[in-house]
Amino acid sequence: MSALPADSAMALLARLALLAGGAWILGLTAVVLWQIAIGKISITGLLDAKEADGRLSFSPARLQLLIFTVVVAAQYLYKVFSHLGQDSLPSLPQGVVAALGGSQAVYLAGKAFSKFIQPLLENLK
Amino acid sequence: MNDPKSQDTWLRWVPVVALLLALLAVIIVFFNLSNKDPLERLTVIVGYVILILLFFFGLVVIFALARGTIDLSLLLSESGGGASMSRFQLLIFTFVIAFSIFLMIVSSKPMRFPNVPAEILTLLGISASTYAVSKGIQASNPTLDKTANGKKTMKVEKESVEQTIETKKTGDEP
Repeated sequence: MSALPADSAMALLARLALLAGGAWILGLTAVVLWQIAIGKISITGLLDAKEADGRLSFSPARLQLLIFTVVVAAQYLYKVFSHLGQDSLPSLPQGVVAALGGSQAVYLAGKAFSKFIQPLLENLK
Repeated sequence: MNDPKSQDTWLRWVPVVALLLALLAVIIVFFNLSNKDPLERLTVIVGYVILILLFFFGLVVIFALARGTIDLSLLLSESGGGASMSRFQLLIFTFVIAFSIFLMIVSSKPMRFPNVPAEILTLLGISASTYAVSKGIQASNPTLDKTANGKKTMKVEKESVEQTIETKKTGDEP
C-alpha cells in the first residue's frame, strides 16, 4: 500500500463526514415526512382552535400563520439556491422578520383569547 | 422483517460492526501514515473513529425513529389534543435551515461552515419563543378536561371543591 498524505486523509475525512451528515439529515427528514404522510404523526386539527366549551373550530389565525410559514420557507430555499458557493447564508429582509413576528403575535393573541378571555365571557353570561 | 424481535436482533449487531470498522480504520490509517508525526496520525485516527461511531449511532437513531421504537407520534401534538401550529412551524424552519447550511457547505470551495446572519437567528428565535409561549398558554388553560399526563385540571378540581363545600354546608344544617 502506498503511503497516504495526512492532508488527503483529512480531506477524505471531511468529505465522508459531509456525506454522513447529509445522509442523516435526509434520513431524518424522510422519516418525519413519511410518518406525517401515513398519519403516524398526526396533523389533525392543525388549523383548528379549541373553543371555550371544548369544541374545535376553524382558526383563521392558524391559517395565516401556516401560509406565512410556507411562503417564507419556500422563499428562503429559493434564495439559498441562488446564493450557492458564497461564504454566508442569505439573510432575510427585516420586513419579513417583522411580519413573521406580527404573524406569531396574532396567532398567540388568538390562542390566549380562546383560552383566557372566552371562558371569562362565558362565565359572565 | 415485519417481526420486531428479528429487527431488534439485527440492530444489536450495529455497535459491533461500528467498532470493527473503527478498528479497521485505525489499522489502515496507522500503517498508511507510518512516516508521519505521531500527533498527526493520532488526529487523523481519532477523526475517523469518531466519524464511524457517530455515523452508526445516527443510523441506529434513524432506524429506531422509522420503526417507532423512538415514538414520534406526538411530535406535533398539543397537550390538549390536536396538532400544534407553533411546533409545525418550528419543524419546518429547522429543516429548512439545516438543509440550507448543508447546501452552503457542499457548494463552498474550500468547504467551510457558512456565517449565519442575525436575521436567521432572529427567525428561529421568534419561532422557538412562540412555541414556548404557546406551551405556557396551553399549560395554564383552565378549560381543559385533561392534561397530557392524564391529571385532572383546574375546572374539574374547582367543581370538586365546590361540591365538597356544599356537602359540608348541608352536613352543618340540623
